[in-house]
Amino acid sequence: MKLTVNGQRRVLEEVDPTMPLLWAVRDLLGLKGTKFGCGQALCGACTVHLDGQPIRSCQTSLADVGDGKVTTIEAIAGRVAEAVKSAWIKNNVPQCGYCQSGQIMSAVALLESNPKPSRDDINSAMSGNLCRCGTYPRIRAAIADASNVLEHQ
Amino acid sequence: MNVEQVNTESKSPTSPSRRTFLEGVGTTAFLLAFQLPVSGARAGDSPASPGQFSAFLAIGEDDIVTAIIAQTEGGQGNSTGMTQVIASELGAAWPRMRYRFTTERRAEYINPMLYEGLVLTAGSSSIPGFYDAMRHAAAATREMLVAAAARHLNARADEFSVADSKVIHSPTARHFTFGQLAADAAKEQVPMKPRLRPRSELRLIGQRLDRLDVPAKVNGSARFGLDLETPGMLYAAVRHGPAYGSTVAQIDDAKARSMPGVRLVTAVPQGVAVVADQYWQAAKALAEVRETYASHPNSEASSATVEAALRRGLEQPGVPTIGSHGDVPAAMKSAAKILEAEFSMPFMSHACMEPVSCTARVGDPVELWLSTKSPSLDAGHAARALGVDPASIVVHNEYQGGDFGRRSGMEHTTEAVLLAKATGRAVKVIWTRQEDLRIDQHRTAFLGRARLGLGADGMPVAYEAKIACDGLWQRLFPRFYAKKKPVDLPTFSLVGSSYGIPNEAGTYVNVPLPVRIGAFRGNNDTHNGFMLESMIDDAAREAGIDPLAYRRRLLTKDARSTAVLDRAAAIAGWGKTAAGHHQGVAFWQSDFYRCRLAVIVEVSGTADALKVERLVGVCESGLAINPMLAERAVEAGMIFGLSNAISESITLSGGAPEQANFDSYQLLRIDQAPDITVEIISVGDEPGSFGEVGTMPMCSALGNAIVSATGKRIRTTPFGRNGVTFV
Repeated sequence: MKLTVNGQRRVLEEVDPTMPLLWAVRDLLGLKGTKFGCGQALCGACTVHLDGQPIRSCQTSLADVGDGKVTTIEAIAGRVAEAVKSAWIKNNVPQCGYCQSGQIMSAVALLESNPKPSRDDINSAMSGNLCRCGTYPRIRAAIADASNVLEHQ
Repeated sequence: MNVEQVNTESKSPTSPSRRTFLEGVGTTAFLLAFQLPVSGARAGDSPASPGQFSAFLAIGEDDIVTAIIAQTEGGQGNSTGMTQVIASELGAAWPRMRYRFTTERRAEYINPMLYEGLVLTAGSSSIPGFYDAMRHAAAATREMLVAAAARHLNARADEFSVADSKVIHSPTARHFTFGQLAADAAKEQVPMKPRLRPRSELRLIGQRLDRLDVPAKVNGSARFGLDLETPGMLYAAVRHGPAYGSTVAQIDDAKARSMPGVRLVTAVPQGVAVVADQYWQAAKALAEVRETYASHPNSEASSATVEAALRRGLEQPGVPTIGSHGDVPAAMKSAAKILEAEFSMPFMSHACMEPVSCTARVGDPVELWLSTKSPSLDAGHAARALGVDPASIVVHNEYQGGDFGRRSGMEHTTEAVLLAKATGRAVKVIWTRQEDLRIDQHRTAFLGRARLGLGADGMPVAYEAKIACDGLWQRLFPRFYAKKKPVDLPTFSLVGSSYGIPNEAGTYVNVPLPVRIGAFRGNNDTHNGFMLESMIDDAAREAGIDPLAYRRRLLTKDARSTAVLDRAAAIAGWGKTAAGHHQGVAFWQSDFYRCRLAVIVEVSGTADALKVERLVGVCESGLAINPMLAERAVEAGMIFGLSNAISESITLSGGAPEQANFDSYQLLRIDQAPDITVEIISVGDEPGSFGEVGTMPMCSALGNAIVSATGKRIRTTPFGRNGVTFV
């Protein structure tokens, strides 16, 4: 199978097309930044972008990805992504950090489509991403920060 | 927001010091199941690195100082805080500091506050437990750098000062960098009694320095146990029997064995495992395995049998707990009024975002890769399964995807080494979320009964509290428990609170429960505090006194306690809420954690649609090394506690937890997370704990807010399943 991940066309030999994208990215391509959390699209730790849209890679098979372009935390880039990552650093958002790749992928997708999200917009867009450490107030603050930075750039 | 305050009154006269407390508990002269012969332990990751001055730090010729951290990072920022302590005492420039983790088991890494013989991260004690040792190590290194500089300049050591990673000869203003001196300094004699810097010279202590692990956790490069790899490894998917302790009777693996990539289908101690070239192959094949389990006594367990067992336990005599004093029966007789109530909490799961996993290679040496809070414990589990010397086992660990008391375990470590041995290859065992919830090391369920006698003035004259639950020491550290019996963790902080109630009697009844029991953020302080803080709140309402003022009156002799209450009241605008908003307060003080914490919860709505609007927490826990880290740890602990209080519950049926994933084991999500303000009051020269303390009063504070809003006192958590609907 062929898979386009982070701008590179990758060939996966003799791979099961029902394999979730998560395991292909992690174990076949060695990109460990995307995390396994629940396996049922309930926690958001495995969030990646497929053609710019946030998806749960634990519930997306390789067959479903097809020719789509996959972007993972390791390669998320651009004006919005840089603003989000900077805001995450400035706000010292992570605790254990395990869910944060997925949080950042969801936050970037939110700001790409809605550059000035309200508190409710943020809560709604981020409610699929669990954080057991409870960094939610910091995530909200970081997204608001990133939004401000983008507005004044 | 954060306020720092240096208070000269560093010790409350009514509080025994932490040391006294520990002597009371007794931490010496016992052996644990997996105690290591420290002298024979081998390095877990690498031999002493070049430039390593002690167990705690190394200085490179590149002028970089590396703090060596044997405590594990579960998210509270202890790796940054510990690095900060070393940098401060040494006199290093913060941008030239790095840190690395070690899993080496050596005497210096055994936390004096915890169980002897174990390298273990627990009890929110990384910084308080190692503060003195790290400072001594850094001070000794500083003196060795000065000695080397003095030799170079043929000058006296007392003519030098050390700051910003430089050793400066004050009379001539000549200076050396640490890097220039490192090689020579390492040859100097290690001073046995180095001079510790006075507080005024510890310039990095008390600063809000950024966490060092944030960049790696933002760009995806931070490695967790589940991410660690070794060449040629296979993957295993496992499924455990329904009841804890289940063993497989029969396996039908005909189909699974013929599936692509499958190397092995086998029983493991509590279930079945499939080993394959890829994890997905293993998981897919496991779905085709059919197994039956032998009948096990735990198979009959249900939430109803647990409740019945706890109820029977509550009728047993039990044992008196620490802090009992005075004559409770006499005081109850003379009381103007007695409040009496029953409380309970269910089992809970840690539900760390990183599910349990362990990778093992059984070679020479045996190696483990996993997220662990204790390389000693996990090497011990592996050694027992293999029949080898635990000291020979190398453990690899980087970041942990949450801990909260979970990160060690017999089952996954045992499975990994047994499967690695059987296949002759390295094997990574990955538990699904269902397995992670099924064989957690659950927080014990508990049932308790409290009686609070009030005088004519409405103030407490006697408190009687009795609890039935399982015991952490008994379950996790049986040999330690054998020395301490009948004392166990639940016996602490049941009575003898800082409220100074004149007569108190606590009773603990151990009830062995049918699931694995382990440490859980907040432990006994959460459930014992839930009883006390609910009863005190009811007493205040009974007396017609404002609940915060009532607590303040009880704590009037301890200025440090009233300071946190007053500050929380000021921030939250206690008593001045908007129309339709209601508040609840809780206070917690612990000598072990050295903390005083006041939490105020503000809610709006009714029992049918209650919204948590805001949390305020003010915490004083001695010296705050990094107030930003402390603030975040308390904040995160409070949100964790809020999640526990609102929705978390493990129920049993047929011996098995009925919650298999986050749809049924519901954690707080961002849309239910209120705004939160935490302030840290830093006091004195001895650091206390922050990691767990925010969790402890949350059930109480939310319960008290629910009374304010609805008039309903709910004494069973989670509130979201016991009469309140949260929005």
